Amino acid sequence: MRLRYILRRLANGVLVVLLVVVFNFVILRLAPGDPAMIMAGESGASDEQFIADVRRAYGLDQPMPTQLATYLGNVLQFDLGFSYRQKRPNAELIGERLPATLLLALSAFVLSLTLGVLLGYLAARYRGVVDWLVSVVSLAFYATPIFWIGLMGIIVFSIQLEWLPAFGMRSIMPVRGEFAKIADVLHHLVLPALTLGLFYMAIFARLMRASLLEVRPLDFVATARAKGATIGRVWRRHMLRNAFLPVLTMAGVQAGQIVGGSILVETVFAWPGIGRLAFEAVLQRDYNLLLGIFLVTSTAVVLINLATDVIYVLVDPRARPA
Amino acid sequence: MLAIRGLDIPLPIKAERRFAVRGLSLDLAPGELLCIVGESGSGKSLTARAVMGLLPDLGLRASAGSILFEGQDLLALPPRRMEALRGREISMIFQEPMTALNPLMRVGDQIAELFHIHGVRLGRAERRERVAALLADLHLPDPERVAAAYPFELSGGQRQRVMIAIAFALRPRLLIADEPTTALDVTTQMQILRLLKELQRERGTGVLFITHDFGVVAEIADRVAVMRHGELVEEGTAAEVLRRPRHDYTRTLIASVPRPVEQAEAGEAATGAPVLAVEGLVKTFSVRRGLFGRERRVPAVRGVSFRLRAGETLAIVGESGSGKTTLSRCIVRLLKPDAGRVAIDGEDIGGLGGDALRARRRTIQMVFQDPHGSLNPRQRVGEIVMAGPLAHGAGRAASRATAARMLALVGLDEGAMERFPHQFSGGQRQRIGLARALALEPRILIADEPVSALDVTVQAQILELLQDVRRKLGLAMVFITHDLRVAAQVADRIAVMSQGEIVEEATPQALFATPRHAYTRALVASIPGRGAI
Amino acid sequence: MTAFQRFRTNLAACVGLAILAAMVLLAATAPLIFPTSPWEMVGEPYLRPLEGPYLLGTDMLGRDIAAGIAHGARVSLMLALVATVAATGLGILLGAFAGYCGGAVDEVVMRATEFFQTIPSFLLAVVLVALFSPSILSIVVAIAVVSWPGVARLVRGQFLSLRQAEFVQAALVLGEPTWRIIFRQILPNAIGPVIVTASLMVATAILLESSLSFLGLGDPDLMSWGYMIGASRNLIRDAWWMCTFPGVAIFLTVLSINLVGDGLGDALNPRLTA
Repeated sequence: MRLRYILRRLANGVLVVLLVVVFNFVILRLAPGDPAMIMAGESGASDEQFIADVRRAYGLDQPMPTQLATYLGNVLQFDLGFSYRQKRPNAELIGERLPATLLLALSAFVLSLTLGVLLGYLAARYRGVVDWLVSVVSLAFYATPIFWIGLMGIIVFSIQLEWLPAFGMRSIMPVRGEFAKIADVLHHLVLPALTLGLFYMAIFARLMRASLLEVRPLDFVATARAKGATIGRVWRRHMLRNAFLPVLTMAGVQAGQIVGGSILVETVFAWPGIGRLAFEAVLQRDYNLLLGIFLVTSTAVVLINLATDVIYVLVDPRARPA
Repeated sequence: MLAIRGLDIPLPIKAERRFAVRGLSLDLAPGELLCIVGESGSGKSLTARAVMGLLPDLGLRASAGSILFEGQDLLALPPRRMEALRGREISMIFQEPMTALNPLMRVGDQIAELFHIHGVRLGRAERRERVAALLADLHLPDPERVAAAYPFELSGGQRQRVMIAIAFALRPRLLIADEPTTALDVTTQMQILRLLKELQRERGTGVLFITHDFGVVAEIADRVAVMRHGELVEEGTAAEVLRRPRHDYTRTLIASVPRPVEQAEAGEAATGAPVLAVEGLVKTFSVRRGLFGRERRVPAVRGVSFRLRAGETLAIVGESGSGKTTLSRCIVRLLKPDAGRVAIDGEDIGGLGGDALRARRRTIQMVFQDPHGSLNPRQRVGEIVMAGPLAHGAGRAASRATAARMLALVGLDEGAMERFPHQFSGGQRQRIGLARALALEPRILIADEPVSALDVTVQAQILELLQDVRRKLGLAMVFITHDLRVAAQVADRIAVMSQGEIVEEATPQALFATPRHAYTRALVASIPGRGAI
Repeated sequence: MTAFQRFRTNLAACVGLAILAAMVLLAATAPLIFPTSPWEMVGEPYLRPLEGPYLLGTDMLGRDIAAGIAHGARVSLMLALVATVAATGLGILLGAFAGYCGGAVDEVVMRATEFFQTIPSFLLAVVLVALFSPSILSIVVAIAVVSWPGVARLVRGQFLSLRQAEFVQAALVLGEPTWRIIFRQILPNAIGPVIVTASLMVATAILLESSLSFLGLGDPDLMSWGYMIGASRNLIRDAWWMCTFPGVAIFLTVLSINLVGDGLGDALNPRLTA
């Protein structure tokens, strides 16, 4: 039964990915200019022969449905086209950069979710000064553009205090030993992950607080108190799990935004992931690469969503189809 | 065992009155069942919560008095000591079984949690056995399966039994029951009442039972306390209070309990051709979850037929899920029936649509259940009542005059037109809803549980008004209700509905004297306090 | 108490409104206070705040940062407002349609919102602006395209639940015409949360716009806060003020709109009647 539900969600996800593929195909043809030229990353006067070659290579001289079929077929074989700027296949470029982005986005996701839930819990439970502080902090981070948080973080922690590195994922000087290498990456990860995570932490904290306050007057909470449970036990055993459900739903929705936000963070910190690659693609007008990145990140987000769906079903028995 | 002395619970400063509970003193002996009766706002529930030390977080606190439980003042007890008493010595069950259990926890675990909290250390197998035994005590079939279920997999009655199992698990000396059967169907209510009485007798538990229904009081109470506006009005043994109420308010409350009218007035107008004829009406809902989900078909109404003549009232009685609401929605064509006829004056409106249907709507109008939800909160009352005539082409002045006349008819003055719904009480809002329906001068009125959200005294007034208006205007009425007592009071004939079908149709007298269908017999037998009041 | 009175007693909301009013005033009077173009080189480059005649200093090309912020306020507020109006309009239309019609229409609209809410919307905005080349139009369209689903879902939910409300059923039984039911019965009761969402969306739109122009995807003719930060971010070691002050402007504006939006939410809360 549960398998059926997950398969259904999977079918849904595949549909989303397919729609993104079609979107990419359509947008390339709707955009002003010749698709072949866009694909070649050229603008204005360029070599006629070269453009003609590109047109033939991608079947752009064929009728539209054939073009779509070719495009779909290529994507299914993980062929996302060729970057004429970087002189390498797009899939290779993206594949190389993907792990760094996943590391960054997942750290930010976990960080924001844990901190957000914790802060929301503290605010709802202790009210008063704690509540006020959490509200101010979350309002502030919710109102700050993440690229600017990153820059301010660099000014404070890298330039003034010199605690954390401001650029890249590894030190320029080679580091010896596996542990030292991991520690080096983690050291570089702190600022970018915090930068990306704090905005979403604010969202989760606000939601968790509101959700807990909504759960508090419910009957089953009174039942638990009537059983003689202490206030602490009622919060931890009964309210927390129930209040977490809307946060989990929101987490699924925000997963995509966190991955999208990594463009900004990677640009600020020169983090060698696909966000940075996307920024370079924008600068160099390498639009075919940009669309490839869009497709790959969308797929990653669909997978993350699938994971949150599965977790939801595990937490809430009512979501399990009978 | 329990002695409440001079209890005051003040309300927040801005409230209408200063005290939710004022100078309340009550006693409860071991093994006794005391009913606290009152309407909404009487302070009965707050009293119960105060004993439990669980007043809602609105800054409500007892400001004076004491609540002595076996000699110790609960109000002065530190939280730790109170927590140790709760669930072990004093336990509580609530009104709404659908929300009283944690939706994410298995029922068995929620019962077992009680053992854990109160330091009863049990092995895994032992715990399972204890839980199963508790559930078996409550006549729940297949206790093992129930223990493994989540709350949403159980019916309302089953959940309330689980709540009772939790309440009795550690053999408390005092049980507080806050309207534990109000949200249940009558047949389930009777089962739960009997169960509670049985457990109370068997175990010698003292019970503080909060209710608004004197029928329930007659069924189970040893002693009765009547509350109004936070104060004790009258107290005595059940027999005394029911038979010889001393206070006027108690008399009004008891008189307001709906009951069959002794002298039948049927037959005075029930002749001639039927104004409304329903034949073989069928409505099935199809439920589908998501794009790839499988379709499920749920039959709601399965071939219902009845006739209604001018000036006649037919009550349709059924429990939740019987299909009575769907039936009423089909008759007024808020839903399109799948099959069958709904004929007004011989013309089938089932197939009508668009303007033809709109024009026909003036003959058949509806009064709704919820006095809060049935009026648009952003429109003035005048606007609300004028809507009907305006929609059918009357001018503004004429519509306004009609609205004023109708408001007068239901007992509201013309000043009401300029005010908004939230400025009226529940009973007044039902009057406005009635005026809105009458403004089209319909010949048929469908009343869908028009009094079930009201306090008993208000309920009695609205029922009287409905009868009065019906007689004056010669209306035919279909009265949908879950309460056989109300049906018997208003109707010429009663149709009993169960699982989408009318199982029996008869006059109230015949239905009560000689119910033919097994379900009707169960329904009649489940009327609380039958014969006592 | 009316909604206005409730809003007035909310200190945070009033502070927010004051800041927002100041920003709007700054935007409106920018051409008067700073008559020269913000692109104009007016002084020596790399002037620290208060070092020269310029309150917030100058950038690497000697442009007045204060002038840039004032003119940027015009751009940010205007773009965000237009995009919000477009997104809200589209969202209300599709949401109301889906909620009132139900069935297949509802299914299609809901799938569409799900699609837009799943994919990384910022990346989608980047793709749209990049491919259609940065301009006021492409930026507004991109922001609106990624923002409408929230409104649509909200409006649909409102319509679905209000359709079942007894006062709407009563209107149907009375025979009120459909347009009247939608506009007189449902919409007035659904509009409160939509106003709140729309006001909060202005804040998100400002963040989106500044993020786009930070990446160099702003309209090349318009001075904007995001552009100022993006252009000077590589000089952060030597000239902290160049990207700090525009960021403060974004922060204050977004914060003030959020405060006002939250205040509106509390003030329009329908639970007031009880």
